[in-house]
Amino acid sequence: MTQRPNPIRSARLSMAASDDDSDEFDLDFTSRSGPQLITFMLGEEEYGVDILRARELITYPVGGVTPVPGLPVFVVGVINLRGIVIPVMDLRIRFRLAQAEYDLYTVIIIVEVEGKQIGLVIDSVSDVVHLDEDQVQSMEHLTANVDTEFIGGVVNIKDEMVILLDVEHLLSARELRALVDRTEDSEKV
Amino acid sequence: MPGDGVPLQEFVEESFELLRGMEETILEWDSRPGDRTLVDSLFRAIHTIKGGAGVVMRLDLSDYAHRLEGLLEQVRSGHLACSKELISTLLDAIDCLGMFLTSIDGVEKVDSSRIESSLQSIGSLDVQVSGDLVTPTKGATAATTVVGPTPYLVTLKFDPGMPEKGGDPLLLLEELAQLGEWIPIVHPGGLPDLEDFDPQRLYVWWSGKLSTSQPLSKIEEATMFFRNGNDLSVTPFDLTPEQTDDAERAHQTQIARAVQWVDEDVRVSRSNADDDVSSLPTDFTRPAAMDIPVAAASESSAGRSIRVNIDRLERLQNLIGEAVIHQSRLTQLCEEAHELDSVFGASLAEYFEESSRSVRDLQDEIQAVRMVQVDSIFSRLRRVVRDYSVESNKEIQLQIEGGDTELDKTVTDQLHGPLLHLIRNAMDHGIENETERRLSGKETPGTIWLRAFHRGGHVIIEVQDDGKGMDIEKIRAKGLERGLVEKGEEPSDHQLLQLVFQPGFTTMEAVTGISGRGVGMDTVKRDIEALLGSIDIFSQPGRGTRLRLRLPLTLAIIDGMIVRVGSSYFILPLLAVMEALRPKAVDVRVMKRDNELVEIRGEFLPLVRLHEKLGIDGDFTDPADAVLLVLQHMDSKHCLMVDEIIDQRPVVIKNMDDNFIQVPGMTGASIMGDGKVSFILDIAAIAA
Repeated sequence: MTQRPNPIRSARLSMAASDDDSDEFDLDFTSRSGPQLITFMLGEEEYGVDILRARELITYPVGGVTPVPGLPVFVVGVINLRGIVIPVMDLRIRFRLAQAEYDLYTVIIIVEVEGKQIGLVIDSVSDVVHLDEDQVQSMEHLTANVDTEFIGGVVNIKDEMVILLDVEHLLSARELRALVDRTEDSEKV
Repeated sequence: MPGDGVPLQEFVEESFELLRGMEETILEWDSRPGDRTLVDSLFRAIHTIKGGAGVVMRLDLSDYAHRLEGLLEQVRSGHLACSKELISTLLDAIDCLGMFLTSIDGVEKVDSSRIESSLQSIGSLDVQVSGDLVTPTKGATAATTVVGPTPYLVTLKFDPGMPEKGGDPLLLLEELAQLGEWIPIVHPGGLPDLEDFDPQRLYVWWSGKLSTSQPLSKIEEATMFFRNGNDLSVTPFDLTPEQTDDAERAHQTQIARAVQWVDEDVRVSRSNADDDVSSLPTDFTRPAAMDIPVAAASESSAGRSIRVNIDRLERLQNLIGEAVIHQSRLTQLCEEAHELDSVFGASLAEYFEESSRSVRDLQDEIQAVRMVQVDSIFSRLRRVVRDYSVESNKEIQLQIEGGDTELDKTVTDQLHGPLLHLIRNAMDHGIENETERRLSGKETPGTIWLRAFHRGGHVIIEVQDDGKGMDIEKIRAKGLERGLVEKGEEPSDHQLLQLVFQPGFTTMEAVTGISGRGVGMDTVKRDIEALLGSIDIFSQPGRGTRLRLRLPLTLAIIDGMIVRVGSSYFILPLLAVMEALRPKAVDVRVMKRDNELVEIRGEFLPLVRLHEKLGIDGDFTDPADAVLLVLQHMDSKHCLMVDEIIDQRPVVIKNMDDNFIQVPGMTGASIMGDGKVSFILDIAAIAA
């Protein structure tokens, strides 16, 4: 008998993101106007994405990820999320950080851009914070050793620097096409 | 209010459907000019569109439709006979109507000069018979123009206490109905809640359009006995802005809409002639003068169906797919239960068997819902052939066979492009002109056959022409020139013909506006393969060419063979797997350019090691230890080396590029019994 992977546990974020009349999530930030960020750890650094882009959080389904032959290594595979096949990208590998072991605490954040969904492997979720536009600083202060092209800026939240991830750019059609092209090129070699 | 709550979207969708039907009817009428029922059905369709346009307040469309209706009325009454000119005008009008409809969402604009010229040709045909009766009256009336009887707007606000006093408002309504065409609408605005309802009181009022040739005095005479205590008015019914103030115009527009809706109601109630409609308020409004024949069968069947968004069907299919996946997991559990307790296991298996039968039936039913007749795309091509025929002076007829063959909606939707291309090719390169045909002893309307039929779990669609056929020698020369055929090779004619599917391959010296650029056949092939189908070509010089498309019934579920390579599982379409075998070591030979060939019963097939192809680890490197699958793709065969065959079962195909990913070498994915994702291998990529 094959071992069925852990059922994917999930927390839907969409309620907090869009339903103003949701009681459970009626934290203080819902009444404010600016964007909200969901922040998470990746190695030593804290990152944030627009909460409206995040659909849900699931634990990493150890043993439930099917590797995809022929795609770059940072696409660790695909998962079955309630009948939908969703590719999963490891941000650590994508940003050339030290690779982490996947365990039961590893989290996948499912983000949606233009109706398409993709899972991003992160270390752990930190917080949901409210953001004022003027908090965003330009990228010159950035010392992080990541590709700056996917960084939308940095914000200072409670004296911690949070790097804003530009999900639209990361998952833009051009970027993804390049991803497939790159794979095809490497295949030819 | 009859017009309220009718979404614009629905009107547009329904109208497009009507337009498709109309186009088909017009083309059919072209071939059977004597069939009056066709004209009637055209008339009905345009009338419905006109009505709908009034409801959604697209008066320009409504006005245009009205003009077209007028033209058709001339045909219906026998004043205008079927002619090429009339058919062309009507077809052009269909395009114009389509343009109106696409402009409704505001993205595209109506090309007014196009409409103008269409109206002119409608007008010129109309004028031939009716003189100056119907001349273009730009920006004038909407759908309310009536020739002959004068229309009046009658407003009837009776005293609410009238029934109590023994008065019956319906008497007046009936009396008005006898004067001419009387279309009232009820204004139920004052209706109280049920507990406050007093049956002795009148809560509603009426207004309506009375078209009568009787003088106004007759109407006054009829209303005379009701004047007392009631607020009644009779005014000329007119929508021109100069004559009425805004409030009244709004009211009249409302009635104009109602008029159209009542028309619809009347037709429906007529088509259900057996039903007792006497209790319906529309009954006494039935206009005696209207004569709209009804095709009862088609309309009543339309009433028995509902429109469902394709996305919703897709979700339903996803869910049933999930259920199928759970079933396969349950099968496993049943077997395990049987090992633990054979009695319990047996009864579990028995019930499980029944439940899986229901799931299978459910799956089949949902699949059936997605099936549409190929006629829906075939008939659109009829128009293409006619237009080409007229433009090029090449007489061509299109013969459709098996139009009732059913295919999955997603497949049919994507077939139009490829078929259009094949038809154009056949018209442009296949069919010769009249002189050439006479010289080779062929009759003159050249024929293109469009056929659909079932064969072995597939739907075959063929496009065949009786034209000059492919020039094999030209193809051979071109193939040699481009290095597609190597010197000394002796490919068969059939193999040579396959060259036309090569990108950029063309034997045409001249490029026409329609085809010949060499882009095309490879695109067609790619499109068909994207549908998990295949294409083949047959041609006989002087006799014609036949393109055969082989398509799966559905894209959603395939019979799959599940194979293992190392720790990965993959799915192969079972239809592509010819056989599975374990070779003897001596059967594998290395041929030129490191190509390994496997000899199977005297036939040498190229060997493809799946683990090498995908760059993953496999258990075996020696084909003698592994399992070889003979795969057929088009007319080439390959041997695919895998570690193990796991299972054969239907799998639900999940589309992956919905979510960013295009995996090279895979056509899709499916979810296995253990909840994990497996990929479906692309046979074409393996063969490449």
